[in-house]
Amino acid sequence: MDAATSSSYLGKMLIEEITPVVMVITTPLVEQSCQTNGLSFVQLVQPFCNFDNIDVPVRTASDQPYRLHQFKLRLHYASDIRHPNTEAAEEHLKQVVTRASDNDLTDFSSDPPQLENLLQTAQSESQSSRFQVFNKELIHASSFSEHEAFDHPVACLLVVSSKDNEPINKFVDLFNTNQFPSLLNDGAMDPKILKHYLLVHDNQDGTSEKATNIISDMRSTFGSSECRMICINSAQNESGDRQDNPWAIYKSDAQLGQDLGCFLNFDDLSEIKDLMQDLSSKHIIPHMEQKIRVLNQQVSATRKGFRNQIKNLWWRKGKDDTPDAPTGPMYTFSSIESQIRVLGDYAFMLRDYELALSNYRLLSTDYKLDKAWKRYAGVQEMMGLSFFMLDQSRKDAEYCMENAFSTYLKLGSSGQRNATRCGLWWTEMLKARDQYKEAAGVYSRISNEEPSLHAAVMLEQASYCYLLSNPPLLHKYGFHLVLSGSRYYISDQRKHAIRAYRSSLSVYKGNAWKYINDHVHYHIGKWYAVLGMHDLAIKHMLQVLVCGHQSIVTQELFLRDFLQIVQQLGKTFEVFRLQLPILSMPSLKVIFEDHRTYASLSAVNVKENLWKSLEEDLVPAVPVMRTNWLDSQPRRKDKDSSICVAGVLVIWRRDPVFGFGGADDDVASGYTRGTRLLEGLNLNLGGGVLMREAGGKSERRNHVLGGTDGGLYSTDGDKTVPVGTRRTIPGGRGIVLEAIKVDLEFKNPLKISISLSEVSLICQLSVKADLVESEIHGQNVNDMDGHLSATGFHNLEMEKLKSIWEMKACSSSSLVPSEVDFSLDGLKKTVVQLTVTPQVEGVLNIIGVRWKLSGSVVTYHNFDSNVLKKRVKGKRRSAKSPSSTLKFTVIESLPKLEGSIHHLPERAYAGELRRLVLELRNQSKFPVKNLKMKINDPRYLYPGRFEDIKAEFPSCLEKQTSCERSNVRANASQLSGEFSFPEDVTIQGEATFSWPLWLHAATSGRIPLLISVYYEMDNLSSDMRYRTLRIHYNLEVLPSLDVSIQISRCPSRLKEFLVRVDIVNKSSSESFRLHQLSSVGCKWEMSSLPPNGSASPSELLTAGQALSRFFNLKDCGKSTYDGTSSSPSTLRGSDVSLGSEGGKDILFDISSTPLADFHNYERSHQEKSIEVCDFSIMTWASK
Amino acid sequence: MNYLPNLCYQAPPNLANEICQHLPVDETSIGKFIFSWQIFNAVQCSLGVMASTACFIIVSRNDIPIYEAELGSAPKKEETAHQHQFILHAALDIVQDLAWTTSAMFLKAVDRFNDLVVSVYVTAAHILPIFKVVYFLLDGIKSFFQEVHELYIKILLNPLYLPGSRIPSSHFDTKVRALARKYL
Repeated sequence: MDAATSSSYLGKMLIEEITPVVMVITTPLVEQSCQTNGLSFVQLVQPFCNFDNIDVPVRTASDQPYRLHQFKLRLHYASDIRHPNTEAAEEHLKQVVTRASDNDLTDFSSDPPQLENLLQTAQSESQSSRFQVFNKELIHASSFSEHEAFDHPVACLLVVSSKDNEPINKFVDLFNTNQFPSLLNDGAMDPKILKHYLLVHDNQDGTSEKATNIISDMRSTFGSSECRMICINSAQNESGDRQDNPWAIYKSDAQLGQDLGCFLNFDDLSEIKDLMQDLSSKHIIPHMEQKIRVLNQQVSATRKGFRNQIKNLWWRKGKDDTPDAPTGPMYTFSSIESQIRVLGDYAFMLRDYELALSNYRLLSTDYKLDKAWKRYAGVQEMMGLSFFMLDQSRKDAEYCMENAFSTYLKLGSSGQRNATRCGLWWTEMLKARDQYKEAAGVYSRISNEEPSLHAAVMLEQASYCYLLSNPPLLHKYGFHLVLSGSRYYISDQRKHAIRAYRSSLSVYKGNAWKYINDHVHYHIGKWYAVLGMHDLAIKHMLQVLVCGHQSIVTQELFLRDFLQIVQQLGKTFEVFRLQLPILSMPSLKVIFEDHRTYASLSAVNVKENLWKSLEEDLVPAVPVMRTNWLDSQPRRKDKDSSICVAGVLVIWRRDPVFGFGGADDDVASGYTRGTRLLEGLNLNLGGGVLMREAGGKSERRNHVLGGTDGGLYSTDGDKTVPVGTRRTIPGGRGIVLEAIKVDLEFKNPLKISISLSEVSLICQLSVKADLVESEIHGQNVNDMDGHLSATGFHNLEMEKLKSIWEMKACSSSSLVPSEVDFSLDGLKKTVVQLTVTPQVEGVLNIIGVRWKLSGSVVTYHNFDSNVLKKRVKGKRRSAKSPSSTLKFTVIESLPKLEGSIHHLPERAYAGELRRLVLELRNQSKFPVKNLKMKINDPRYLYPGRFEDIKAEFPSCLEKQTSCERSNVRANASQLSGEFSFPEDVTIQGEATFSWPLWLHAATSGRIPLLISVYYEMDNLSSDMRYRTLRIHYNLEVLPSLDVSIQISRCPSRLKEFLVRVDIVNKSSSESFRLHQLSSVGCKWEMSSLPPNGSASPSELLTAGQALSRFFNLKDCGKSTYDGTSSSPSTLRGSDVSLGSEGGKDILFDISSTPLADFHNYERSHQEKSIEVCDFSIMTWASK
Repeated sequence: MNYLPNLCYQAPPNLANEICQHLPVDETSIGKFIFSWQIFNAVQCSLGVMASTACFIIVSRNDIPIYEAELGSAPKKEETAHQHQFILHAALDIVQDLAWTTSAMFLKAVDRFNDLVVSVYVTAAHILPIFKVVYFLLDGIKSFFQEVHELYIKILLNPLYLPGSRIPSSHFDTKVRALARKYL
């Protein structure tokens, strides 16, 4: 026997478990005496049946002497010696598991174990007493089977109390009663077993004199060596505190409270000890040894040797004809097979494994031939164990175990318990040899056959085996934990289930197998909720909420359960950065109005470049004061970004130069960022770009700032923070405060619709006095940052957002954020516009957004950490941090114009001329002045004269006999589209002002019309002298007439030309009526061909129709053509009416504004240097 | 709809499943095995009619699935998705061991969970470390794997495809399904 083998866990287990059984039969009076100690007789004696330190000489069957040093007896009442009831065993095992879960000290709120620590804990976990206890109980569940002899009682202990009447007869009665276990009665084992007679005397009942008499009687009746007497309860009163209570380990906690064995004194105990030692070493062991010899002789005589083998074969063959009855009482104790089995088991119990093995081998062939499969499996099992104890052939051992296991399984339910026991021994065998992977496989096989609770424990053990194998099979580990967890759950062991799932998280954490993650988190969450740990449940449920890959049903289930748990929590749950719906940060768009104001949303969407180039000459240049060459670059950028006043606001954008936060400030809180931002701001404005505020206050602030970030900022009293003036606003009430709008895109990742409510911005408006405080605060936070973990950081951010939100709620007067409710359909995106309206001056910081999901989950989402991550990655300093772009300085209110164009159609036909009205409204109480306007392309839109607004259109364009028209204005400034309103135009507060515009749809296509109106404030502070109003419209111009002209010299006359005009109506449905063809300028005289002009019947052109007309053109001007000269007489001949007779009278004057103006723009646009002849065709739409 | 873990397969007696999973590559060694595919398949035989479900997964080097498809004619069941993932994920361990002990690309039935069998095709090339997992049945598996491998190489040749990321191509998906119909 190998020392290593026997010291392994299995070795120890076998030495403890496969030991002789002693059947105990007692009288009720004995039990009564024992119960005074809180123990039954067997319990009383049990602790003394374990002999670690004895020395019994034994001889093998072949007279080889050896010594037993360790021995154990198992004591059982006769009534207990039977196959355990399945249900009772089941119930018992369940209690074992439940107890383990109650004792489990795992802290559920702690983080699940990390992968790195797993291996260290695995060893202790896999050998934890939890598993060992369970395995032992599971093995016990299959004890006392008739097919194996090691559970058969070796001896019988008859116990009678001295109080009993006629104790001698009692002894006889006890052994004759029918309460013998079925094993004996059925003949499965030899009823003639070793008997031992014990008299128990209770010292509390008097002296032992009577007992002494009885024992002498007994000796004479039963033989002196077979009788013993013990005295118990010798202690007079409860001696109590015994240091090492020998029963402690045998009793469960509940019973430990009583003073076990309190009436036993030291003499009693040593007496019991002696009794048991004598029983084992002087009676049982010699008895077994004796029996081994006898049986061995018998077996040798009948089965060993060549002759016997032949005989056996012959005899067996004849037996084949008998029906297969593996469970029937085919083998009684007297059959040679049973005797071989007993021989083998006795030898095994006395550690003579060689003898045991040889007998088992002999037996297994017999049973196999007899097809007694259960017995065969039992023998194979013992063979495997013998091989193991001998540490001989591993392969054979495993083969035997495998054989036994599968044979038991083949038997169906009757062999299931035994299969489990066999499997457990097998796994222990494999584990003892470090074959953990194989052991795990065996555990899984056991679990397949067991009810779910047992299977769960088996699978959990399997998972630890996978972890312990080399290399660790982590995937398998996780998988089996999950399997085990789900089975624990089925058998109502929620704590175990959670533990298993939580452990598996370490394997599945952060991996892309989405369905796995969802499954694990969802179930942990659900089970926590059942246990009432809602906060933990929610933590896990949050992980599965964003599950776009799942089916609709599952998504609904997840969401519903999540909301249920939140409801059970009993309060609104607050979460930081919930990804439902997903907030798309690149979509974040801030719309605010500073000196640029917008008439409509479409104007906002036009690119800033276009506006900028349009307004280039319109707005006064910002005076840039260079102090040195270094300043120039940043300052110029400032001009773009930092000047903005909106009714109340200035926006500061963080300049790249000031993105000095390296990796270290990535963790910094928003406060810190705010602080830095302000520093940047100070530097930017150092030159006094904007208003300068004198005074000690700003100096002091500078000082503070300089302190926080030493080298980068120089304390300079000149640098000021350009906040609005301190002046109180005259008539400040009633002024419309301008809102900052933030467009955010929400995306629903799920296929089901979700509802959001109270979506609103989280803002912070600090009045200037608060600034210093918040900066200091920011610094404090900064100091702490170094020690914050990621979660801590999140919590901190969340707390901050929350406090800001609550603060805002208290002082609702200073800020008015809007609240939006909406619902998002599955997989949809929605852009939501949120607004905030500041009511007082100060610095406004838009920090994040907050929304409520399904009315119960409040989510806080800050705006800057996405970018934060980016910065960590790319170290891109130029990336603008949103936290800085979302910082606004609020100043006092300013006048603002609103504008719109009336009568502007959405669609027009090419060439169409219309008169429009530009209406400007001043919403404030202050007048504005110095109005200027610029239009992106004067070909399309052209400001008229103030009188035009009253004139009747189109009759105002008709040729008037008086012919008093002003000259065409065409100067450079008009060509560029800039137009100054008359100097005296001012728009008073709350007044409306209109001005006519001419629209000429010069070409077809989509035409953007951009109009920028510049105005100046009269009487207000100087930090924002002017503003611009940006108006944007889109005009769709449809094609109308296509005109081509061919001119050829007249063959007969020198100064005359023939003109052919081809006109095609390109429009899709419209019909046009031709009205007039005119030649521009005075050089040409035109007449139609044929001369009377009435030859054309088809002046109405329907859609798609083409028409050709001929004209005669005569060069009548000897005088030089200067393009602008005009005299009524020369103009006359240049028009030819094309219309019907009735319309002949009315001709339009093409030299009047705006026709001539548009003509000029058209010419300048086409840039033809030599223009001989221009024509205008006037048409009427048919309607 | 009950989302109970249906992991305790009380499999119907006539249900035979095969599963397959993926494979790992050791970064320290020269990229010998670069592609691995794994196959697994579930076959249900009832009344002589063969209905099969198969889950085919391509797994990248970092054990991240980059392509997943449920193949076969059996109706898709709600709860099978995570089962397949669990089984395939667990089989990765075995594949990791096995891939280094053999030069064969196709590893038949490397792992087994109850009636489900996992087969793997480990792609070996010096180009890119990618694994494929397929889930398959019988003799057609090998040919299926090889054809899918070719398809996958075409995907890799796409300059817009970042190796190791999910395969978004619907064309690839259709092709794989067509192949599955052909060979299964």
